[in-house]
Amino acid sequence: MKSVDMTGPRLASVIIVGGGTAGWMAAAGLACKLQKQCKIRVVESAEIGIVGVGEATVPHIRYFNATLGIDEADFMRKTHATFKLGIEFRNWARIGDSYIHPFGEFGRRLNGVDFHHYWLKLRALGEEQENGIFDCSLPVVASKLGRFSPPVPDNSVMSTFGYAYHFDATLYAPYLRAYAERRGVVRTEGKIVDVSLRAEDGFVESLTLESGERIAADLFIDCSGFRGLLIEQALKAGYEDWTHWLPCDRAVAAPCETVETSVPYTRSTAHDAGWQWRIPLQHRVGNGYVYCSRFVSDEDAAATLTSNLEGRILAEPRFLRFTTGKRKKAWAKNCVAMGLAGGFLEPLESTSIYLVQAAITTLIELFPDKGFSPDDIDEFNRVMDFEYERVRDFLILHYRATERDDTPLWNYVRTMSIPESLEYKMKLFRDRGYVVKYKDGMFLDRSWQAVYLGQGVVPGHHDPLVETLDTDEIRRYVRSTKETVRRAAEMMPMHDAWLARHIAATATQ
Amino acid sequence: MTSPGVPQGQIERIAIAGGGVTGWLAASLLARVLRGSREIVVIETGEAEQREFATLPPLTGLHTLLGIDENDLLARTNGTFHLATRFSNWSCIGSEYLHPLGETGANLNSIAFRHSWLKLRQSGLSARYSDFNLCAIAAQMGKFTRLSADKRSILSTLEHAYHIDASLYAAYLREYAHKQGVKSEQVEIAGVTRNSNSGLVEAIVLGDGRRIEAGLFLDCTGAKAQIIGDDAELEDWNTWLPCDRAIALSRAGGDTSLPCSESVAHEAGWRWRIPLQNRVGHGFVYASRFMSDDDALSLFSSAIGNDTSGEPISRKFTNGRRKNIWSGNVIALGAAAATLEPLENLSVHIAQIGVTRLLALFPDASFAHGEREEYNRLMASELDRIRDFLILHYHATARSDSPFWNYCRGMPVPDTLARKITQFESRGRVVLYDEETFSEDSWTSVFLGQDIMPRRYDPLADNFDAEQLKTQLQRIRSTVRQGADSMPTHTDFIRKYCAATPSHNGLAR
Repeated sequence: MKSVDMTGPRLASVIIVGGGTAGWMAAAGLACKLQKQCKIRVVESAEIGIVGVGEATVPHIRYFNATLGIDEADFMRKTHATFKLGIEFRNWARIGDSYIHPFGEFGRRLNGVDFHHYWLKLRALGEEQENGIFDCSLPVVASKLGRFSPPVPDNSVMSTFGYAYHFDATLYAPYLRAYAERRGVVRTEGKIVDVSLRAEDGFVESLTLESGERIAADLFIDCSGFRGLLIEQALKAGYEDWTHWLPCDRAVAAPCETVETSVPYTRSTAHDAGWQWRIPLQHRVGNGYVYCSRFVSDEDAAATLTSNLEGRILAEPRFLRFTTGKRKKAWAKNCVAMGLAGGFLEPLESTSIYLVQAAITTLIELFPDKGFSPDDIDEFNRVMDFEYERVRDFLILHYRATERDDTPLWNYVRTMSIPESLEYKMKLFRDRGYVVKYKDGMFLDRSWQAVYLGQGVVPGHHDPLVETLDTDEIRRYVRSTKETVRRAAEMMPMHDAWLARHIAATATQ
Repeated sequence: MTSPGVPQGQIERIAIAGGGVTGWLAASLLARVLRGSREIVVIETGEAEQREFATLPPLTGLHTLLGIDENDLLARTNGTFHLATRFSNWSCIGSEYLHPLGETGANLNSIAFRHSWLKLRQSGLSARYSDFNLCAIAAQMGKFTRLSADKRSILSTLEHAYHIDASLYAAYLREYAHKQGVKSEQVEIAGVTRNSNSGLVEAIVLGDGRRIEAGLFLDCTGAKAQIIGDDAELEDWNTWLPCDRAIALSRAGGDTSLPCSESVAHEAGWRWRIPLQNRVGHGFVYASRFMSDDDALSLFSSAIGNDTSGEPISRKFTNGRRKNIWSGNVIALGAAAATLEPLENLSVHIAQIGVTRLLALFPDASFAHGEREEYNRLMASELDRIRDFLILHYHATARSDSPFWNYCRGMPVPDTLARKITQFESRGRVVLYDEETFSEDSWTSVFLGQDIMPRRYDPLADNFDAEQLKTQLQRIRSTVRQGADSMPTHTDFIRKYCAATPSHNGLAR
């Protein structure tokens, strides 16, 4: 047998450009896994603000934090976090509609058939309301009651859901910074004024700071935000524009005081030219209006936002511009782009932080050596393309599956052409309630189910195997599922009570 | 929308053309899941099948679903257990490796076990990859037990499959299916009649002139594919899998010494050995382009030793699959869907996934809800992954002793496989696509067994120094060894729990 023969020596140094959420997540993730092997440095400038993407998350964040060994209560206390069981969508399919996309199941499979098919049969018989299936999901019912307690890994209904957090991203980055610095990550304050490339192969060689200092590294991670200081401005990796399918291109954000009672879910309310998020934190509510500049002016968007706040506004509205899409090659030469430098998808399903996490995980799995094998680079780009495309399709579904024809935006998205991959998935659900499954990438079939059913993509037929049970048996099954869910939800403590106890308990330790 | 000739409503009757393992497996599973809601008729036409075969672990799950007692099954089919296949002479003459079931080694933090192993090989470790797999060690020591549910026990890393008598297994399932209400006829098939509007098959016409009408037809007639026939074009894989002849011979005299089958490469193909309780199945697979029938027969005889018992049975085949496995209201199952040489024990598995997928996409009489397209997409994708796995055995070789091996070594392989080989060779990464039959462990066993040695290992393995890793690997190895020591011998296990019942002890039925 041949022996293992290393193609290149180990990387000695990494520079992360940009100290926002992506930058510090990357620094913390790499420090956790590779602190013994290479020097990690973060270059950030206080002058350049951070976007602070995605204050709402998906359950994967818990694995990221757990891998780092972060204590949940400590993290929640310091980032003013709350628990999240799902997202409520208002006015998406029709004005006046509302549904919750939960982090969890809708009932249990029975006799090899997904639960929703049994429910669909009762609905076809006229025995179920349009949104009745949402009463079969524990995180939905708990959300509506404002209740929360963490899942339990038994086989009961308490094991049928997951959870994530809402937190203040401007606090999460410093939290991770402290973590990273404790593990030897060096932070350099300064603005980058020049990027020099190696003449022979175009690799990034060094960065020049405003102070005149030149800093070099083997690997550069570009977390510089939309502009892509290294990946685009220096390396010209190119950008794939997805505006055709996801036409929103701006956002205006402002926090406000909390008025409503504490709830464990994000809210997304569709407006005339986009949608507004509501992210409840411990001390305030984060709000923002994501809109399409073709259909509304910045002033009108800001006015819509400010007139739809529940409490007193706490800061001047901030505007953001973006182009939905992704970098053609998120890894080019010796530079890997993450966060907004890697691509942008509107935070409709709270995926921004997830996509950063996916990039970090994949980079660690494919961590290069000084030889920078094209095999590692190809594979990283293949995996990340999958991630972005699967989130993209899921987001497009929210717009496409609408009956709204009341404004130009909704008319456009309702009738636009969509990627074939999504067209295919929607057809199978519409035809027979079948959810196409895949291995790689975000969103399980139950998420697709939730959005299809929530937005009125009602299957013309259910799985014929439902007929192997008689209708009374099905009625009993659906009824007892609802009953079990309702009882379990009512047993849960109120979200604010649980949160206060959870945070206080460890604070005194 | 109703168009003329398109039937509506539920499928009332399913006709299964062909008995054999495939037909009776389909009948049993359908009868179990459909619980009498559909009539099922099997038309037995006397299928010629390989007389002894090995299976894959998922078949145990199917038996659980059917409520079949495995001890009873093995007792009545002269069955033995399968824990591994030993491959000899594949990567070069004199080489040998095991492809075991179950898990190999243990991950260290998030680092896949193979990287620790690769790193230590650099500093002189001589233990083989399979030395860290309990199934492999037990297979060599002639030990067997079923897996333990206790996750802390090394016995929880076990997995098993069977060596089984095909005609007795078919008979076993036949009896099961009959008890579930399945009807059957032993009669020749003369042809089919189709609806002139829809093109759907209406009835199978029997040799005696009678017609068996049904809404759904399952073609289990083997490679001759009597029902789906010309409807479904064959995708020929001969260019990658050039073997197209098989000779099989059963030898009286059982062998329960090792729960292991053998695959020995020869100059133009390979031969198998599958031990049952009452006899041993031998077979010889070769490529007619590279070896004459006479040479094959004489090589086969000399390889297994001269013996007058039994006449060898010869069979011609073409490796490949149907482009559309489901066409109209006919679904090809087993060898009618895809014919593959028995390398890696896939024959029953292909039947199993065909029926399982049918249940996941069960049609109604209109066949109009996208199920066919999705079924064909999923089956094609899983079969193509299986194809790639088989090609790997031939292509990844250093053999240059015959035109056959020179051809296989030099042939271009499908891109999907090329990527896998590149990634494994480059850094020991196992790329898995959607719908993979074989696990990361299986791919790794065969990559390494065929001597594809990664050039690099995961840099994270350098977080541990060689001494730490050595201690860890020694611990795993001795745990595996102790686990195997604690198991009963395969012979004792069989004698105690599944000894063949006398009426099934004959060589032939």
